[in-house]
Amino acid sequence: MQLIVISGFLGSGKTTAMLSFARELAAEGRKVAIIVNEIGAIGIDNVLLKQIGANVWEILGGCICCSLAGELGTTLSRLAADFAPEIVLLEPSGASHPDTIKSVLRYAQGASVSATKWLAVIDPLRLEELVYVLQPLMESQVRTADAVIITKRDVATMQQLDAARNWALGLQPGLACFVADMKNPVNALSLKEVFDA
Amino acid sequence: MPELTLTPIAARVQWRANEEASPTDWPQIIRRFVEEVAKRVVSSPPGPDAPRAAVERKTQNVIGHIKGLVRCDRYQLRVNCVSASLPVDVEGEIPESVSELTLELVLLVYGLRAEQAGAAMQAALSAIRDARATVQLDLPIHQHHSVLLTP
Repeated sequence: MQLIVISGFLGSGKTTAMLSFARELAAEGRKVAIIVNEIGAIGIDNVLLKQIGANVWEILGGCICCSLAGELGTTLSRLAADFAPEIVLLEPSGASHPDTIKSVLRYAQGASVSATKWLAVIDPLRLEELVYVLQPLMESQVRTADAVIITKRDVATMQQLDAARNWALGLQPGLACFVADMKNPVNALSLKEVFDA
Repeated sequence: MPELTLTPIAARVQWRANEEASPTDWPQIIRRFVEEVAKRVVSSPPGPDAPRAAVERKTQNVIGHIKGLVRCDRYQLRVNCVSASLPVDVEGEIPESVSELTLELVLLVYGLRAEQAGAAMQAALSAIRDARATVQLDLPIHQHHSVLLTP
């Protein structure tokens, strides 16, 4: 199975992007599972994910880059054995550190994962503010990515979109950058292009 | 190196409409409440353990995501807030005829402590002049490792 990690800061639009991907992939007849990690004990996003009929696996009440690192491996193993999806969309908590998740995955993904793709979701509306305060975390999300998706195209200014793209390319020259709408990201994206980046 | 810590805080806010207030524009009430909470959590005074650099920068508390959900029979309302200076996003509907509901709220705010969150929510309720709600605040369930601030 192919693992697609959708990382990004809290509130950047990861869940919305993942929902769109899941719907699109299901429409193409692909067998998709979702692993969602929320650090709160109350799952808010999982309610919506389940409503679309997706195969959702929850890791709640902690973060898969630290307190629940072991849960990730267990979940991937059970998922492979019980459901055997073609594609797994993994949404880590937006507070998690991508570098640490990469290390965790190195041991946790097992033989069932054939390839891993990292997509980082960037919110152009808050980028300047967040980089000002949380530069190390924000930069690590881009440095670990195979491609970035700049969300909220329909509500951001052209300057904000350009600034986000330039910032990402400044950290990783040549990185594939895609731009997506806030509510329906797939509208402006080609999934094949994103996943092949 | 200065750091901020994220302690997820879960809360349940229960509203009960009285006859004088009915019909009730629930999405608007929820939106105004979350807007007021957001304003207050970012301006909560620094605690005694706050990193000096963070205090000097006035970045004691940084909103990651405030998200909420109301489920009421077959209706649902989802609320998202990522900044005190950006509009609160409210999706879904709750009919005006609904007389009581519960908002499940998760506050993911760097630097925010539980007692500050409780105070922020009480103040937000006062600000929207809604004495019909009771606030139940759950305990924090996970203290995330710190995140480094920009050097």
